[in-house]
Amino acid sequence: MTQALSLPNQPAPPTTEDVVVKAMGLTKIFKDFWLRDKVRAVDAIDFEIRRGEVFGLLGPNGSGKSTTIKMILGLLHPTSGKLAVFGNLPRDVATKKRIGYLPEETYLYRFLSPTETLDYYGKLFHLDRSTRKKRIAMLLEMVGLDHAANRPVGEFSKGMMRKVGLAQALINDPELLILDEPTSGMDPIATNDVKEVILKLRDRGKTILLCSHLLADVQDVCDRVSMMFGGKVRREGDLDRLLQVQDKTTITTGKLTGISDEQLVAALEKLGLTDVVLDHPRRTLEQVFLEMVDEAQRQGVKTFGARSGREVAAFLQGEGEDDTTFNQRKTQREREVLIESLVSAAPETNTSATEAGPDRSEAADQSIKTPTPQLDKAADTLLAQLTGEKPAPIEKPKPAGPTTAKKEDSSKSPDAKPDTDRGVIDDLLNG
Amino acid sequence: MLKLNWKIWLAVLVGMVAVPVAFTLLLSAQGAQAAAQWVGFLGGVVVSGWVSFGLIRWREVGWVKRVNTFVITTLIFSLAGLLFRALGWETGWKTSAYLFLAVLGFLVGINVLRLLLRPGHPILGVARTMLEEALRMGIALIFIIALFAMLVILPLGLGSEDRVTYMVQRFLVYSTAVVFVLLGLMTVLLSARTVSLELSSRQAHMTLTKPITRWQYLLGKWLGIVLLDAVLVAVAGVAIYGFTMGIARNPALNDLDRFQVDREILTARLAMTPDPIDIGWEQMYQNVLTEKQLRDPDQFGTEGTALSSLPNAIKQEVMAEAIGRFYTVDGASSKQYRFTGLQSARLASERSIERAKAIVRDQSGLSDDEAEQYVRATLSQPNELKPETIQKVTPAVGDEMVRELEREKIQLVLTPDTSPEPEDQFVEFYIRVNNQPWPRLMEPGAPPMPVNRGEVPVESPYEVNIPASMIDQEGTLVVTIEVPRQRLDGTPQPYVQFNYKDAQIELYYRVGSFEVNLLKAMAVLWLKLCFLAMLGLAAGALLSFPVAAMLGLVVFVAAWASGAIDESLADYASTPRNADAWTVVTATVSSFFTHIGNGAFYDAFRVVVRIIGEGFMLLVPSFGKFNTSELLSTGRVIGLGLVFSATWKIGLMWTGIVGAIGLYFFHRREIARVTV
Repeated sequence: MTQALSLPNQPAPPTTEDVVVKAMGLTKIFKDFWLRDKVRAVDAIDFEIRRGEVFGLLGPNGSGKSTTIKMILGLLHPTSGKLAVFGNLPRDVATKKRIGYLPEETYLYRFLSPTETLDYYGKLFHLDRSTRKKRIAMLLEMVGLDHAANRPVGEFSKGMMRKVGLAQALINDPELLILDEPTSGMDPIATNDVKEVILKLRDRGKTILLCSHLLADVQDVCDRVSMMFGGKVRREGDLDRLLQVQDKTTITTGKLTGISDEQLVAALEKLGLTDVVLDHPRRTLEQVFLEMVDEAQRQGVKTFGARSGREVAAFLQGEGEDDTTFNQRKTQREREVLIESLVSAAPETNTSATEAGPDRSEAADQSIKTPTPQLDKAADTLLAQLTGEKPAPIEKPKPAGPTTAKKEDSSKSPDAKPDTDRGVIDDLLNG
Repeated sequence: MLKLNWKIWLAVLVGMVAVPVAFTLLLSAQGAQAAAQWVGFLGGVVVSGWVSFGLIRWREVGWVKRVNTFVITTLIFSLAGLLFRALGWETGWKTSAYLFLAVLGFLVGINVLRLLLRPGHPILGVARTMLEEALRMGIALIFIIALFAMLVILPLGLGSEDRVTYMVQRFLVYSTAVVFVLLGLMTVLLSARTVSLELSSRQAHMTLTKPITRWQYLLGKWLGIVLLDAVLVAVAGVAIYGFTMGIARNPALNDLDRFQVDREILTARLAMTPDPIDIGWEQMYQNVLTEKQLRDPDQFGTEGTALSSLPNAIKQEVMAEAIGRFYTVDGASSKQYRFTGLQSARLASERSIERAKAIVRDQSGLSDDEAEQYVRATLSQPNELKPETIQKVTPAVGDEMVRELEREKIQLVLTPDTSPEPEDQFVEFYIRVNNQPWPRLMEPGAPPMPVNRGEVPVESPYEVNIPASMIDQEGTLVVTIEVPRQRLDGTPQPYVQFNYKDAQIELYYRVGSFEVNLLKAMAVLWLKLCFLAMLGLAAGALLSFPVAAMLGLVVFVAAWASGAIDESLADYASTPRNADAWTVVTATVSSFFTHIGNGAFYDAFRVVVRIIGEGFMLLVPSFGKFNTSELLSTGRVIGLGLVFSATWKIGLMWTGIVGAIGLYFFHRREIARVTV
């Protein structure tokens, strides 16, 4: 967690060097043929993105997210207001050197192979040939496309194209990474990889602007979010504070042996706690899916699609670009460990109050939770609004009462993250 | 386990080659020839199998892909060549060999370009991707294939001509036209397509958010296209050269045909017109004017009015008449025409004499002095040669010497005309050079004729070959033309005029080689393509693909036909042309209203059409002024001046202006589109 997040109540006013993107009264009006105002896509918004944070730009379709991003990238020119990226104009070439961008759809040259594509983008950053070669190898390995490195991109599935897109966004080891719907079209493994890359880069002090309506992804990685609707910013702030439910408490413990649920509830009520509900934690569909892939890969099942579970490219981790480091890190054992850690990464990010590290092999791990029937009313409506075209099917909690371990597989439980599941389902549908 | 990769494959291959070679050598050293052959054969089979396996298995690795392209190309062409050869169709297999070389040259050229575009710079990156787009997206490939096909078909389709001269000329005209049209179309479509499609299908979003400026992006695209054009023009140039030489080697109809092909087409000659001998052109104009002023002071002004102060039409009339008189020789009189500044031709002739001398000296055992005497006498006074000297030179050596001397012959070209037209369309006149007897170079030992008598059809060019050695030390050559009062058959000849339809008396002399001329022609062609590429890019950066392509094609066709369009516009309606802008505007407006006033609405309409046409042609570079194909096919030199002028006007000025306009708007436009 970054410094900014550890002081959620009174964030110190950031100094100018800490501000990567600053918008003041930023407005974009699209005119029609007769130069009359047609659409106010972005309406006098103010925001700033600080160094080292993952900033989420959320909003339903047509809320002005993409327009804002395109203005930051210099693809659109603001109608009025000020916009500075690294203290410069967005169209400045020096500014663009420090940015990596993944557009909402990957627009690649269909006739180039991934290697040639990355070589092309590397040249745009003045990278010399040997640097390009090394980085391309690492990036293709990272996104799991090394086996398809010489096939024309035109033959690729949407998800595979997306991976090439992600790789090109990282070729310059950017200080500011702008990701527009990064996980659209990707399978859960790739989605997880992307999240991991984001967190790794954040840990290295990079700034990430994430624009998405897959709220699960946003929730997993973002430090701060800005929610847009109708061209205006409606809500902005630290994600932790936005999501925290003030009047509930979660208690986590190991597997219950020798104590029945009823006994435990009684004991707690004896302590004066009210409304005690006992429940077992559930795995998300994402976790189950990742387990399946992991198992298949261990058994050596072949795929012609993208493979995954690779490590983040060394140069992105600030580890230098010499081949030896890279090759040393590529040993089989390392990969296994990596897959392991990737797969187990999900619950870690999901449950903030869990004390012990989650152990997937012991799925019977239990926790007691005070019932959280809903996030508070406001957040609920907001989420419904944000998910746009499909109203979010927010899980209604099960009636309070004792549950058994058997129910774990078959029924939904209140602590399951509803939007995480949605994200996975979305991914599956898209991929 | 060690995974098999291409490096291991390559290492194994080296071993595989080495082992059978070693064994073969060993066995043959021990005298076991049959065993050695078997080992060699089996080794060959195994190695080929291994090579094929690797080339297929790692076909996606960059260098293997390239090797495969070469291997497959070679295989296809060798099969075709062998098939034609087996069928006994010589033209077929020779053509496939030529074509193979052309394709090979193209592949090598492309790979050299890839190498050049390797360094990490945005402009080079964009250029490289542009190159791949052209090669892989099919659009350019169709034109490239068509180009190769046409270059092969053209020479095959020229078989019906009996004179090699015409065959060579036609091939040169057609092949350069085909290359220009195909590459021009390819360039326009390719350049109009790339930017406009990248903007609409949004690859530009990815590129232009990287540290590359808009001008670098456009320049990179342009570079990619013009480099591809350069390779194609080079390959086409070499192919044209090869086929031209092939056609020229066909058996000639007669000696003249052979001479014309070798010395008048496959060369680079400069054309020169004579100057008045005693007085300058200005004085000649003035004399004519004074004469006219005395006769008609109303039209030509009072005596003493300077030519420059008269209206354009009068000026042109006076000048035309002066030139006409200069080139007219009356019956029973003669006129001298002096050509100056022929030093380079004279020097070339001296060098040629030296070479001819060396041939005679070395092959006939004459002394240096004897050889020189022999050569010079052959050129001017063959009857002065001593019989014993002539005997020493065998006919073969004599022929070789004459061939050498003929390289530096110069050509005098006249197009006679007369009035009334003689019934059989012939005129007669006599030509003498430098007041010397006419040498008969082809027949050593024969006396020179007093003059060259021309019995020539009117209104068609007549050509006389003159040894360049007749040019004097100052580089001057004086040609005397004498017209008798009547022909030998008694037909009267009042006068003969030598400037039929602007064709004047011209002297051609060799100043360069056909190879250099072709090179210059190809360079100018490429410059035109450079302009078209920029035009397409600028259009594509602002307009959608269909509109940009249409615009590009219209300008391409207009520029190509600019000479003809210019002429027809001038004839279409009568308004002044070579005057200052104000005169043109007032004259045009007044002629428009005059026509309206006279009720001649159609004529008024024609004036309007012409204004529109002229206005449009102002926006089109006139490729017609740089018509290298005509010069090339008539063996006339493409001057460095022309090449520089084309570089400046087309390569820099027009390309620069169009590029700057395109860049100005492209720089201002938003790359992304409305998506709300």
